[in-house]
Parts: sequence; structure tokens; C-alpha cells
Amino acid sequence: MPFIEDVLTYKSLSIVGLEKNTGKTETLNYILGRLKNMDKRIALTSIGIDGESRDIVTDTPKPEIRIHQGMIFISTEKHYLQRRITSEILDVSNIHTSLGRLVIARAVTSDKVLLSGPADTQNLRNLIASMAKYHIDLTIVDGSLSRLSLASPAITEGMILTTGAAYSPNLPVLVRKTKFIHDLINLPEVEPELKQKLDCIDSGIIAIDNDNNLHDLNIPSVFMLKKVKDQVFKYGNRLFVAGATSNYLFEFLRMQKNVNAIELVVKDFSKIFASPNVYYSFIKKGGKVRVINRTKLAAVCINPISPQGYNLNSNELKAAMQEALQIPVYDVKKI
Amino acid sequence: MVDRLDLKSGLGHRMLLASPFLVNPEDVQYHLQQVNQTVNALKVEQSRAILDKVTIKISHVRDIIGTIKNIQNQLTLNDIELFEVKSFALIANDIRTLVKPIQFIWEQLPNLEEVIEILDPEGARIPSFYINNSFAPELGPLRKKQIGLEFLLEDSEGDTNNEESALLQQQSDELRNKITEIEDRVRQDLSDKLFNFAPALHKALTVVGNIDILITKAKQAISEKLVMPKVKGDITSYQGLFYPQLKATLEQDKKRYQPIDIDIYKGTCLITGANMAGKTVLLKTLALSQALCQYGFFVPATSAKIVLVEQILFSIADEQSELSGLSSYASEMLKVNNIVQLGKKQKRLLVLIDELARTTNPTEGRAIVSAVANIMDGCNVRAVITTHYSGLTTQCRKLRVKGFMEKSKDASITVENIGEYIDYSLVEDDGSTVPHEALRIAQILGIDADILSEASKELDIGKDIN
Repeated sequence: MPFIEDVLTYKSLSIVGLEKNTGKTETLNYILGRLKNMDKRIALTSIGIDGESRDIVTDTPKPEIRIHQGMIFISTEKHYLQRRITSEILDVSNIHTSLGRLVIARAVTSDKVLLSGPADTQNLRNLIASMAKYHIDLTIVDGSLSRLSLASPAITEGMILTTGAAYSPNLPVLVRKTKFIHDLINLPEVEPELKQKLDCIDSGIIAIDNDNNLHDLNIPSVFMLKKVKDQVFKYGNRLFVAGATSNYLFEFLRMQKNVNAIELVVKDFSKIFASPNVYYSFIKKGGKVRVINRTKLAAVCINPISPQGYNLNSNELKAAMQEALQIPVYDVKKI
Repeated sequence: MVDRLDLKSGLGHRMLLASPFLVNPEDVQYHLQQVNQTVNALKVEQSRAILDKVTIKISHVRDIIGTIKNIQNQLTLNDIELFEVKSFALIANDIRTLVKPIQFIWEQLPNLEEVIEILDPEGARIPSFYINNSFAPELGPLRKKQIGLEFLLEDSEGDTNNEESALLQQQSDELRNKITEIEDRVRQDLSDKLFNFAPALHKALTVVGNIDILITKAKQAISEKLVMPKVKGDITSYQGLFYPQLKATLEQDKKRYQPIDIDIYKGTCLITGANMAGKTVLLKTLALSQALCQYGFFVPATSAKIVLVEQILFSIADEQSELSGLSSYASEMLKVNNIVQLGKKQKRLLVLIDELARTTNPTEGRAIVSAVANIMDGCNVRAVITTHYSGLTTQCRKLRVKGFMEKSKDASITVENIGEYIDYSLVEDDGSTVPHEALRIAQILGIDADILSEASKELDIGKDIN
């Protein structure tokens, strides 16, 4: 039973697909199927709405999420009343979504359900925290289409990444694109002293000097960097950006004389929105990126089939992916 | 004041916003008495501990007014609504058990034990809900069969062409329909049973909301040192009246706040006084206290007697609106006109007008003030009007803010500490002269010396002519 042991070491876990139809739901069903016979208390939620029986975007059949007896799941009022499963309402939360309040329920039988969850990360975080009162061992969050931000370590401890032919039907390209995300996830953390100092800062751009002292540059966004160009590297070569980082920032940094000494610090990998080319050319010139909170990658799962009909060789893909990422990769249909 | 209330439930909030402006002395008296009893309960450690626990319980209460209406309309409730009713009934009864020693609250809360019986036949008393097997004995075996079928179905998942799997699916669907049918019958049955308890549920919901409001009102009364007003007699009279927010700000800056004593009789009362003497704040405080009292709150004073009115009318601040083409003067006059019209209908009113007719020339302004004061004097209103005009001919009552203390020396006064040198108390006055301290205050505020000397010259010219 591969990677289930890994999964159980986390208190919360998100499953994120790099594209629709990369096998996210399959993976989730696989994990739940494995977990049902273990003596663990599992809660399930999602960001936004998930679990439609047909994929709305591509109109392809989509496996529903099968909840097993005793598991706790979260759904909206509207979806809860449409459910087929027999379940016991434990609580109705005050979090409102477009489909009504969230219902927290325990499955009495096993059946497929529509999972829903809060549409914003703040409420999702609170919801996961509130699971403690049901003595939950593991909360699994089903991520929506390319919502990487929910895999942010600020919300869930670990993540499972699903990728596959739907992300790119060209095997080398698929591996390269997946490796980029994998590289970002594995960015090293800053030292604990700096982590503590920066963790509570939610906005702004800050220069860090050699003694780890912080100097706020008093600009709201990286697009204003040009205006304070003279100050950016006055204190040292390290820069902390609390918000999102774009191509613009990486290009700006790459063009500096001291690029090989520059170290960019971001909150976590989900704050990097640069394209692979721009990101790697910064790295190639010697630039470094570190994160305050590193995400733990529990597993990478692949789906070699795409809804457009592309069918990659599962074994080849798995081998190529493993070679590039240097971690175990699984095709959940094959194990 | 309402924004600063720390209400624990959305229910309390809704009910507070929906609470009426009370004009009947008995009603006001009843509400004030309730707050008073709660204040007394909070002062005793034992009952305070109880109320603290109640507060925590209340924070878990959901506003289920919609669900109760559905019961009243004999609609069938869904699982979520049944859950809401059950969890509310459990909390309400917990609160009831808790407040047993606090008689006046306990006797208002109906016992919802029978509602709980209906929704929790097994007596688990846990606030979770589903149509479990104890509601309908035939559900148990059917569900067991269903679980077995699902297990088989899960194993054969994927091979959709399999005939056996299709058969299983059909069986499962049939079984599910049967179960759903029974569940619906149970829901219908439960909703019918609950119908008889709709009034009790509604009453309990209202009382729980009221407890929330009462506790927060009482806590605010204690922390802000508010007092229970008497609503008898025909004179509104305050001792030690204060404006809570201003007092809090000043005390935070370690500055003096001077409470005010004032009596307001039927008729008009003109108030004069120097700039910065607190006239506007006084009007705001009067309005606030009157409103608080008539919404069943304690008021900010050391003692208070309040005559209830039907409406509080207020004209304050510049309400010029260029867009509708009205000048400050025009919009003020329209407002005052509305007040006078209502006054003429012999309505019981509290009228508060800040610096009436200040935006027009002094000669006509003075005439307008006298006219409004005279008309109001003959109506069934309590009007308080502030003004800077002197020599008013009206015969109504006049008060003056004492203003600068005699001993104060200008040199030591600054913008920051000016408040310390003003005596805000009110004295009866004949209104023949008004304080001329505008230039002195301007000087303290650090206004350009040229303005001051030019203005003084102008004043001297005026005196020479006279």
C-alpha cells in the first residue's frame, strides 16, 4: 500500500490537480478506499464546489467521490439535501456560500457525494481547525481547478500533486512543466530566526540586511520597485516580497549587476507566479529563492489519459517523471 | 452605543434592530426593570457565573425564525431544518436549566423537553440529527441490505458492460427509493408533531434573543456607569449627564470630563455660550439619552428623570447639498419647518436645534430664532435651541454655558488643554448679552495675528459708532 503511510503522517492534506482531468478525484477515491479500513478518523472538504457527476468544462464523465461509513464530510445546504448517502448532521456552520451554509455531516452508509467547501482560504483554514472537535486524524481538501494557493502550507500541512496528459500531451513538456511546480514546492526554507520575523508580515516589500534586520521599502507592489531602485540593495542582497511575485520582479532582479548574490524570500511557493522561462533564467544567473513556509509534497500522481483522447504510456511517463523529480510517482489506476 | 454592544448571537442582533421605539411609560419601565434585575444579578458573583455560562451557550444559538415559520405553515421540514430545531431546543433547555436560580429569566423560558423527545427518541441528547432507525423500525434492515449492495457495487465498479453490475445497480436504486420514501414519511410525521410546539419554540427563541440583549445591555450599563432613568413626572432632568464616547476618549488621554446638570421643561429653552463650550455635544447627549431610554437602555448620567416623547427631532451640522440645489440655509429651514409643523399638531416631541439660522445675516437670523422659540414654547414639545445671537426678545427660558473660568490666564492655554479652562456647567440667564469670546479663542487656536488685530480694530470702530 504505497504512500498511504506517508499520507497518514499529516493532519491536513490537499489534493491539487495541475489541470482538470489529471486524476485528482481518482486519487482521492483511491486514498479514501485505502483509509476506510484503517482505524483513522477522516474529514473531507473542498474549496468551492466539487464532485459533479459530469465535468462541466469538458463534459466528460467524472468519477464521484465515494465517502465511506464514519467519515465526516462537508457540503453546502443545497447539495446536502440532494445527497443519496444516509448521513447524520453534526453542525451547520455560519460560513455562507452561494449554495447556502456549510453542513458538516458524518456518513452512516457509504455512497458517492457532492463535496463542497468555503470559497475562500481564510474560512477553509478555520474549518480545518474546527475539525479538531470531532477528533479528526486527517482532513483532506479536494482542490479545485488550478487553485494552487490552497495547497499553501498556511492552510494544509501537505499536498498531493496530480498531473497527466491533460496538462500536456507531450511527454517531455509534461515532465518539464511538472518539474517546475515541483521545484517551486521544494524551495528551501529560510533560517528559523528570519522565519519568525517575517511570518507575521502580510504586505509590502522588505529589504533584509546581513544581520537579519528588516527595512521596509514602503512600496505597495513590486511594480513600484523602479522608483526605489537606489534603495533596494542599499541594505544587502536579500529581498522579502509578502505578496505575489510576477515575471516582472524576476526580470528586474535578473538584470541587476549583483544578480548572483541576490536572494528573494517569498511566503510560500504559491506566491510565485512567474513563468518557467523567466524563473529559470533568474536561477541560472545565480539568483536564489527561498520560502518562509515549505510545503511538504506527499506524492505525485499521474493520469496518462487526457479527455482529448491522448494516451501516454503509463510506465514511460512514470519512469520519466520519477527520473526528473527524484521522488516516487504513482498511477493510481495501476496500483 | 449600539455598535459598542457585544451581542453574542445573530438572533440577538436581529431582535435588537427590530426593537421598537417605546412611547408608553409602562413598557419602558418594564424593559428598564429587566435590565436593572440583570445588572443586580451580574453584581452577585454566583449569578454572574451563571450568566457567563449562558452567554457562551447563546453564542451557539442559530436564528431559526425561518424554520419556525415553516413549522407554523405546516410545511415538511428537511434534515437541516430538523437539525436546527433539535439543536436549538437542546441549547434552550440547557439555558433554562442554567438560569433556574435567576427566577425572572427562568419563568419566561418555556420548557422544550417535548420537542427534544420528538427529535431524539433514543435520548442521546447530542445535537446531531439524521433519520435514524429508531424513527421507523423498518429502516434498519433496509439500510443493512443497502450497505451490502453498495459493497458489491463498489467491487464491480468500472465494468459497466457487466450485466450483473447493472442488475445490482437496479436493485440498489429500488432499495434507495424505498428508503427515501420511508424517510420522507418520517420527516412529514415529525413536522406534524412539531406544529403544536411552534408557539413554544417561537417564544423560546424570542426569550433567548432577549436574554442576549439584556446581558449585553446590563454589562454596558455597568462598564460605562450608566443609570436607570425614572420615567415619571413632567420634567426631564439629568444630573451628571455625560457623552460616553467623548468621556472615554478624554479619560484615555487623562483629561478632565465635566458632566452636566440640566432640567428641561415643556416649552423652549435657548442655550447660549462661547464657542467650544460644548453646546453641540450637549444636544447630542440629550438626543442619545432620550433614545437610549426609549429603547429600554440605561442612560449616561448619575441620575435621570425622563419624560417620554413620540419623536426626537434633530437639526445639527451643515447639511448643504449642492446636488439638490439647496444651500445650507435652505436645507436647515426646510428641516425646521418640518419640526414646526409636527409641533403644531401637538405631538409630544423632543426638539434639538443646533445654532438655528446661523448661516444668514444676524438681523434676520435673530428674528427667526425668536419666532421659532416662541412657536415652540406654545406647543407640546421640549425644545432645546443653541444660538450665538444676543438680545433675543423671546420670553422663553434661557440658559448659558459658563464658559472660560475667571482665573484662567491666556498664556498657559493651548489648543490641547483648552478644555481644562472651560466651565461647561449651565446657568439661568436673561439672554440680553452673549459671551464675546470668539477672538480670544481664535487667538488660543493660533490664528494669524493680522486677522486678530484687524478684527479688533473693526470692533473698536463699531463701538465708536454706538
